Amino acid sequence: MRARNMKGRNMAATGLLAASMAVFALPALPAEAQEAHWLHVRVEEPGETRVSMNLPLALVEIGLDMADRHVMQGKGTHWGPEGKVSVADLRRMWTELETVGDADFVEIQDGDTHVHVSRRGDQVLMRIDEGLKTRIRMEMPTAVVQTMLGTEGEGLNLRDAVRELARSGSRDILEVQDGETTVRIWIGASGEAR
Amino acid sequence: MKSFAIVAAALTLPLVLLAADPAQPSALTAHPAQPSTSVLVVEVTPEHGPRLVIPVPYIVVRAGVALAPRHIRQIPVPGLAPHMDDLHRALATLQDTPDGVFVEIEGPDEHVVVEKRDGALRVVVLDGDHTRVQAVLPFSLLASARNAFDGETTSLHTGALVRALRDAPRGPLVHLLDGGTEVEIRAW
Repeated sequence: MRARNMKGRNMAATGLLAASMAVFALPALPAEAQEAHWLHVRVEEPGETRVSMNLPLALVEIGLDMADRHVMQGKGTHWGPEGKVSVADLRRMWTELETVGDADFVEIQDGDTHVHVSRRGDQVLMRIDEGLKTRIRMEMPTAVVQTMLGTEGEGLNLRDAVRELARSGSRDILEVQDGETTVRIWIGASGEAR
Repeated sequence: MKSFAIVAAALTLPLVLLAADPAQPSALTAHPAQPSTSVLVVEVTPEHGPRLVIPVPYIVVRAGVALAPRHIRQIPVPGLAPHMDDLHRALATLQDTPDGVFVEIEGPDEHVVVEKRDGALRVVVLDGDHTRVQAVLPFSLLASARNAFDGETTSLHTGALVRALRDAPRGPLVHLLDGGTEVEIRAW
């Protein structure tokens, strides 16, 4: 009887130890499991075309690296209606905005068109609506924007931005609905689309 | 009988010498576990008429390339040089990637699939009911083909590409259907 009790206590102690180890191990698991390794793209035009791409992020990095060296060739990237906004300008703007915290950066209402760019926590959010037919949603971690703009130079640091994006874990990046056409871009841990 | 053997040896020896590559281990010693390609089988099935099955011994292909004019043996591709390192990295990444479908495009009449399966990159293009292209690019073949590019002359050595074929696993490499005509190339 005493031996059976001892055995029971040992089993209980072992179970408790295993449970404690599992509880302590849990916080470490998500960080490892959540890192994204795949870029997924879906484009659907009902009755017309369906495009599905599942690319390893490491391959995307190589592609961006090649584009940077052979297409951009270190030339600066410019935006704006007349291409007058440089990466340096964007970097300065971002540095100012970073200190602000949560804020609405851009809000434009023009007829049916509504554009809204904001920061909420560690996310930059963009929403564009044109009437009821067009709807664009984009979410990007602030760390990715920071990495993409880098600290110097006239080019975008896309390769490191992809790495930062992968570290941020599985997430939706872009959703576009234009009439019946839908585009969805997201990153995930697995090569299989969810 | 003896003179026939001497004539046969005299005819065969140059082919063997042409096929031999001192930089590479011989077909007898290389990859003992994996049989190397010895015959390329070209199968043509026309819409009308008889089906043709043409087995081409690998050694004949190598000899043919070795005897070909220089512009066929060395194809200049200067544009490839700056991308070679990236191509090597991309190939290594793809090799480490688990099997899966990378790209799939479905249209009303078209279907394109690029996937990795069983150690090979597979491309399938279907266009209507009458056009079909299937290509199987084993990674072992792609890895061997990397050596076909000569960085000094920035040219592609056809001989090295053919040598890479020797490492191709046995099975279909290319399958084409155009109209009613079907062509398949298999490594054997």
